[in-house]
Amino acid sequence: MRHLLRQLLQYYRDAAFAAALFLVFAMFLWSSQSINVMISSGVTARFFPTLICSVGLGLSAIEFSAAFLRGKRARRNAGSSENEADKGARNTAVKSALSVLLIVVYLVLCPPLGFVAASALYLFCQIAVLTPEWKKRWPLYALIAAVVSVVCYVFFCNVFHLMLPSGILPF
Amino acid sequence: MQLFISGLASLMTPVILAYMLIGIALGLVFGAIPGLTGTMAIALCLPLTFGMDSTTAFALLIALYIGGISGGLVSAVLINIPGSPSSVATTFDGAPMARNGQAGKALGAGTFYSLFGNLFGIAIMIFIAPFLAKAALKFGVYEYTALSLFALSLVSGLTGKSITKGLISCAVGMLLGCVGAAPIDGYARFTFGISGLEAGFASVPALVGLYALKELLAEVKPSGKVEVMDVDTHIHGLGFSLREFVSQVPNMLRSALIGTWIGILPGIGGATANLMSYGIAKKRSKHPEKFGTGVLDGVVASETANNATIGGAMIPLLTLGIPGDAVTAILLGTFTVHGLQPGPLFFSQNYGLIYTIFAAMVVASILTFLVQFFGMRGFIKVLKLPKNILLPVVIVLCVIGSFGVNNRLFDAWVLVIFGLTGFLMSHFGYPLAPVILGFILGPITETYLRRGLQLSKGSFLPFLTRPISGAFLVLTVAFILFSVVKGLRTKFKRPAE
Amino acid sequence: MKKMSHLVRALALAALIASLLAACSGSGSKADLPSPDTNAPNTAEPPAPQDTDWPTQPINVIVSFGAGGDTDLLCRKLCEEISKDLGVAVVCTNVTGSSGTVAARQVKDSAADGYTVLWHQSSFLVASATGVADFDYNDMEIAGVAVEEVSDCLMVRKGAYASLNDFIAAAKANPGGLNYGTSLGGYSHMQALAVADAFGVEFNIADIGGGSETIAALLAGDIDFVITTSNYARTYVESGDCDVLCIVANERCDATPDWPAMSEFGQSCDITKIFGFYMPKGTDPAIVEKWSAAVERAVNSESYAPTCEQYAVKPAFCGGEDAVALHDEQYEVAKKYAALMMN
Repeated sequence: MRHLLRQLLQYYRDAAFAAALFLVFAMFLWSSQSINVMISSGVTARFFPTLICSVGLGLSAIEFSAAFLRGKRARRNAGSSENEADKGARNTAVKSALSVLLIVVYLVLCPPLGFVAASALYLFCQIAVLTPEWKKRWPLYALIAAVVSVVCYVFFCNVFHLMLPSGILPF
Repeated sequence: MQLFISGLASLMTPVILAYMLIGIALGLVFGAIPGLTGTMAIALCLPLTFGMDSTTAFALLIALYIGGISGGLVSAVLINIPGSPSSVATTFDGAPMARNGQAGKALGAGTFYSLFGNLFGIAIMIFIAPFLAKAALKFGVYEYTALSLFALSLVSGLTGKSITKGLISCAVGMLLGCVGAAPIDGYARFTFGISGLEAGFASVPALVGLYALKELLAEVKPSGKVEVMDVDTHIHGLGFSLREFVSQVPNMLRSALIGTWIGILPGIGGATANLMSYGIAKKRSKHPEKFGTGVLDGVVASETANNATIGGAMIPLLTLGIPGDAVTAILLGTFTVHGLQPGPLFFSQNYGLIYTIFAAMVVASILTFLVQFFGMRGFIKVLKLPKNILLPVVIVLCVIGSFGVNNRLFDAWVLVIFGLTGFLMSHFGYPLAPVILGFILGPITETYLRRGLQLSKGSFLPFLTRPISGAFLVLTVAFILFSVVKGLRTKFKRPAE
Repeated sequence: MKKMSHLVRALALAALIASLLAACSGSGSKADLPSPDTNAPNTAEPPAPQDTDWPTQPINVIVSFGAGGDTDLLCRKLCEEISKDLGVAVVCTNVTGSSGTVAARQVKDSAADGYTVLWHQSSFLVASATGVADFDYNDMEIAGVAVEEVSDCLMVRKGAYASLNDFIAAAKANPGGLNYGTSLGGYSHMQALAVADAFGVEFNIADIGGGSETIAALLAGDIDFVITTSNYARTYVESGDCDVLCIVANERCDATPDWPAMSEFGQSCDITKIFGFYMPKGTDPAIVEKWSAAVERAVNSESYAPTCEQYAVKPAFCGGEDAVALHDEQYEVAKKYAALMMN
């Protein structure tokens, strides 16, 4: 079963993405029918979104079928050549997801912790994720993270009065 | 001529020159850092200018303006993230050039052609401004609609191999552009209750986000050593040869004209100019399939056009008192703060100041060129910085820049949303350039189309019967047909894959 | 490896400098005025008559329209005065969108600690009346109405109409025929409706955009008239491109004594454009009071007078109950016109 799933994932990824886009366009099309309008005659505020979504639906349907056929053909031709590069791919996928998560956490932590603390934490963690052998030089990375955060904060807050969140800092 | 010289002389004080250099440096830095823009630098420095005399104030603001637009080149080439919206098209060929080991050439060319674009726009402004301003007035809402449709049609040249995917990208971009207050009606669309989306997605975090996250995630490697690019930091002069210069002359002139004209039209900004110029350069080129792999033409088209918009945008400001973009709107405000009121008589009543401004623009262009030229070798060293440290720092700077747009953290979330979208789409083979084109031009087209229909009380006729509008519409249809025919022809030439 | 230790040393030095800077400017920075001496010690205010020691840090004024425009500069100049008065930096930032609704919402939802203030104008009332904003001024504290603009004028191309009477006659003969350009749903949209309502005519109102775009459209011949600020109008009248037919107000304006008021043609104007400050609901009344007092002093100060003259506005401070009453009155009028806007 897992073998089948992995195969499906490998060959029909493009088709799946196209299907996802189709759903997105459908959702927006449905939402655009309830847009409030001030001018209700002629070309209204609903026209463009409706047009774009409809065209998008059509195009993603076309792309889905093309991708599906491509995947089917590739599957038929490839036979049973499983690649061992799978393991490396999974590692990359995990790290990519982790990076995205890091940015999200960074933004969430910015208001309570303040810009400096949140940025320093983010920088350190992100560098670690990107550097397979981060344990070797982690003090350097921590230092860079701290220095960059403080310098940016000081520069933008004091010179430009850009009110970055101060959070837990006393100033 | 006499006036120009005296204008130039009034600038040659150490204080003013110092301010200009600071302005250029700051503008370049803001322009280069993705997320921060020259416009933001100008808005931030605006209060500082209140206390200055008018010459110093304008010298500073103009230096910031020119530095800001020129700076976007650096990050576009070096890290494949546009520093500002006016350098998006520079990433298309500039970044591949850097990857091919030709970073010096890309930077050198970009710097030189930025200078050319600046001077071209300024020259047009000085010599034929009033005439052009009157011509620009002929561009009403119908003409704007036709022009933006024309610009949109250029998307067909940026789709790469799969037209379907390219058009889907464009549709996604246009849909994202619809989020926020509807043009004209003003009611919110697609905000799903999130009040922060009321004004739509801020364009700078959106554009930067599209590229930034993708670059960051491209650095994720399963294991092994961190790669550092093997870069030859030795550049001869400007990095490109005389022969290459000669071959670029038509491209250079055409791009400068496009940039100046787009700059003159209020309401369509520099972000459109560089994309349009690139698209047209690609269509007119003898080897369009090479665009995107790292050809000089792409960088030339983009950088000449975006700098030419500066001179163009000043024309309606100085001759009619109508600002062409956000920066000239701030300049207009600065005029009023200093007791001047731009309008049709402004030119003839303020020759002294006007020529000082012209001189300031020329001086700033040259100074920017010099700063960039001597800084080039330093900039390239950035490529040697380990990307595992550089890119996270860039992300933090992007967050600061996004925050600076409206002083709220919400715009940093826009960065993430577009980042995810950009990453997913490029991962599955959907081109990003049409997304940007759709995002910027979709709302513009919709706005002007609906405005035109309001004026004509629902009739589509004026769009076709007015000469300029009609001409652009015909060109649009022609371009689309041409691309379709070409696509079909190549498809039938080769047997189906 | 040697390179690395250089790098470490450089970073350590940078860190030291940065932390020194941070420490020095830490206490002083927030009390800075936007001037070169950034390391001045904290200039906290001595206890004021009101029982609050606000403000102790910079105040952020959010301007609801773009940088460099009239609304923006009227605010920035005023804030310069207020800043000197209160002794802390007053920093203006711009948040644009939806005729100022985005800025209004942002301030409405911020902390009610007196450090975030909104600068907005009458388009707030219009946006609330049409529903573009799903809240209104009652959801915020009015922290002082500052100035009033009663100098906007109706402008046409030179020679198009001899006087307002001819213009109205043309409008009556051709209902919905004369084109007007505006930013739909904004204050100038309401102005056109007010004129139409007063004289019993109908215009074709189209969205063209902001002030400068409508003037471009007027000069290009796409629209027949605009209603714009008098400092803008002056330049086009002086250059001979346009004529001003009247001021959309009940009396002439001192800055432009030659232009007749609408009332001289037999109809009165019931709208007026007010600019003022707003704070989030629930802000300590003492803070609102103190801010309003500072606004009043700044508006009536001699150094602000040239700005008023430049933008043709009248200092017209009004606070507390009076401000609320003024808003209520104008809101009723706005609601009347909002109904006409939605067709």
